[in-house]
Amino acid sequence: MTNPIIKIVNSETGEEIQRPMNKEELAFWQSQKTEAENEIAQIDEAKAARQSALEKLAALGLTEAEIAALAG
Amino acid sequence: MPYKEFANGNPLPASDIDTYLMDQAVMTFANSTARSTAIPSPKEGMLTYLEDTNAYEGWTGSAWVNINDNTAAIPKSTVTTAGDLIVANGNASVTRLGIGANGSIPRVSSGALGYLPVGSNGQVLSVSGGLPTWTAPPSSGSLTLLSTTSMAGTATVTISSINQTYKKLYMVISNVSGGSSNWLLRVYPNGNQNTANFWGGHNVVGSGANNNWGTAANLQLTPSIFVNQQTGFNKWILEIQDYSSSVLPKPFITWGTWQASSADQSTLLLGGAFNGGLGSAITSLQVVTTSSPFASGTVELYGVN
Repeated sequence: MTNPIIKIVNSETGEEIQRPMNKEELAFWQSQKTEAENEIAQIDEAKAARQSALEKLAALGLTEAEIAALAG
Repeated sequence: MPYKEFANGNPLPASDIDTYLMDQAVMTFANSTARSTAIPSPKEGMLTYLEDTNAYEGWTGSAWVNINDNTAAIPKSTVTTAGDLIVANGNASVTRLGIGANGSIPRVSSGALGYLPVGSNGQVLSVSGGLPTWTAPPSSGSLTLLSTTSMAGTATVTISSINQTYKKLYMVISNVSGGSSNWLLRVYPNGNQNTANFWGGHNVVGSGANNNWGTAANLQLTPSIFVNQQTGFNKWILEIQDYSSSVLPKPFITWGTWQASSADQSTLLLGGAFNGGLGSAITSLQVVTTSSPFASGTVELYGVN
């Protein structure tokens, strides 16, 4: 599989170079990708936890206004 | 000499033939020699046609002249080169205006039409002494486009060799869309990826809303959020002051908006500074997506004075 493409634009001359990432660049990019996936997973987890909490509060008999007052 | 029409039965004396027929008709000759022989004493206004040159010539009282190339007409020979213009240089007088050099612009100066030579790269058209003229761009408040490039098909785009003569940089990242998975968008000055090279904070409204302050290794334009198909809504602007200093912190502000769906619009306002500890001027800016590749997007970089 071809490595992701990196593009370098020389703003003085307008020359554009487009090539597959080298080993070092690929390692950096993959670290970014992992970070992003972790961040996004945390967000999804937090969203799910919030939804679960809201449902539990509703099951305890709290009204929507009361839940909103608590959860914001 | 009045014009005379003849009716049937009219007498036709020699004087009428001389006056009304011969003098008013166009006489045809093989050449000018034949004409001279036939008309040794032409009368002013006589018109002849010469078969050898296919020319109509009239007698001025002193000479036969081509009626299509006399002083009252504009001879083709006035112009000599493709693109030449014929212009008046006085009352009923014309002259040639040679085609200007490549890129020159017609300009009227002191009542005469001429050309303003092409300017130099980056110059703008201004007015001086009542005349258009090329000048250097204004020293303050002007935007100069340094680079524009498509992000489509790439995972990172680096704008390198950034001109160091401006007061600040202004980057516009627009119409960005990534792959099918969620992704982040980050910017690295000088490709510096491993150190805490900026400090500041951001405040996000919308999905992934947060309010963080501190240092980081990168400038993340989509703080922990996804961006997908609503490309027309995706735009970020990054402004960096003192980018050419190797010592001073480089204050920046960035703002943007993106939309993952019609019900999910987020905005970003983030301020801070690239740390003086970066140790050098910013000569390149790298835009990175964690999804490969960008499906679309454009990066424009301007220098600001």
